[in-house]
Amino acid sequence: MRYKMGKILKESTPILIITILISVISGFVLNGNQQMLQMIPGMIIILPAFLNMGGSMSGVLSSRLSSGLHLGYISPHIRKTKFLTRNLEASYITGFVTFLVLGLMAGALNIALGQSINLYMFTFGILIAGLLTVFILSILSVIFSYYSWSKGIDPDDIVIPILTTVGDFIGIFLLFYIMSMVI
Amino acid sequence: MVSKLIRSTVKQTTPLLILFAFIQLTAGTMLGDIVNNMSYFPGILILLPPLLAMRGNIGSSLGARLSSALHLGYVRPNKITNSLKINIYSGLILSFIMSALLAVFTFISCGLTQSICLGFVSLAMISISVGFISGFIMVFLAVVITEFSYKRGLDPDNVTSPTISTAGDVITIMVFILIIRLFLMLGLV
Repeated sequence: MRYKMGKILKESTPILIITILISVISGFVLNGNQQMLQMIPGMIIILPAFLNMGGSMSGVLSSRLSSGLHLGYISPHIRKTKFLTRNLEASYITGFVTFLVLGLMAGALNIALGQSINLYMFTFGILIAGLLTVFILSILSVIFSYYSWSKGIDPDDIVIPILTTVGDFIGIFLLFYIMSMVI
Repeated sequence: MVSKLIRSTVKQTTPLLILFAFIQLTAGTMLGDIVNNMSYFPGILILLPPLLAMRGNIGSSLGARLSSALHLGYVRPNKITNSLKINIYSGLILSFIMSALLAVFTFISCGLTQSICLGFVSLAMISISVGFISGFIMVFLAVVITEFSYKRGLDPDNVTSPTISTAGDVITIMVFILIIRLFLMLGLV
């Protein structure tokens, strides 16, 4: 197999267009919350990190699931197996630790920059929003992985771009919704 | 074996994620600059998630292709082979096309939702200049990171994707801010 420019462009374009369309919607949600962004500067500080964490975690989970499918560790029908539940547990533990640390770091950074926020409520909000995002993404990751596998599409090719983009949308939405409740 | 899997995954992922969270927080702090100038650029924040997503996706898939090519011997470290050139050109072309499409989509959806947004020309100029400049940097960074990790004996598949997406976010945000500063300085908006 040699690389051909036409093939690369043809295969990448559809998925990139879909991701741009979904992320423009996320952009609108973000833009619609301008007032909150200006009132609570901590929100924009945490945004790239928050979204990246959700994306990375679902990316790691989907990679493991698709390797599991490729290697035959998991049967191609969704069933509650030890492999699946342990993988999900690993994602939730990672999510809990990372979002807790992220919330504390971002809260401390905000205080250092002279913002008056309640560190505990801020961290609590980030942790809840983060865990909810990871939870929803992990379910989607399982569904997309099995579905694409059953359709004969390599999950490695499509699940990660789709999940990171959907994750941005869910993440932005939950972050603003939950932070507006706790702060 | 299974409980080992849990432990090793958590152990391998968490430190990397925490390090990246720290880098990302720095990038987020810079974003405050855009929020402060938002009144000059109505709707500018709509571009942020797509620009970040695009950069990550184009960069990571380029990194993934390059690492497969290194494994297969189509690309060799420090050599400019035909496969390498094709991969670089594809990344650059995709960056350009997608940034232009982004401006079109944003403009149309601004009209559909009747939001107050920048005009099409400004949107296109910002989107294409940010998309293409950061795309240009990202393509070369992807090559360097992939070849470096390969030479170090690391499997590029494990290293490139998270590194490239984090670097992509930071670079995109920096270029975004620079372009907006430039627009303000030149009085283009």
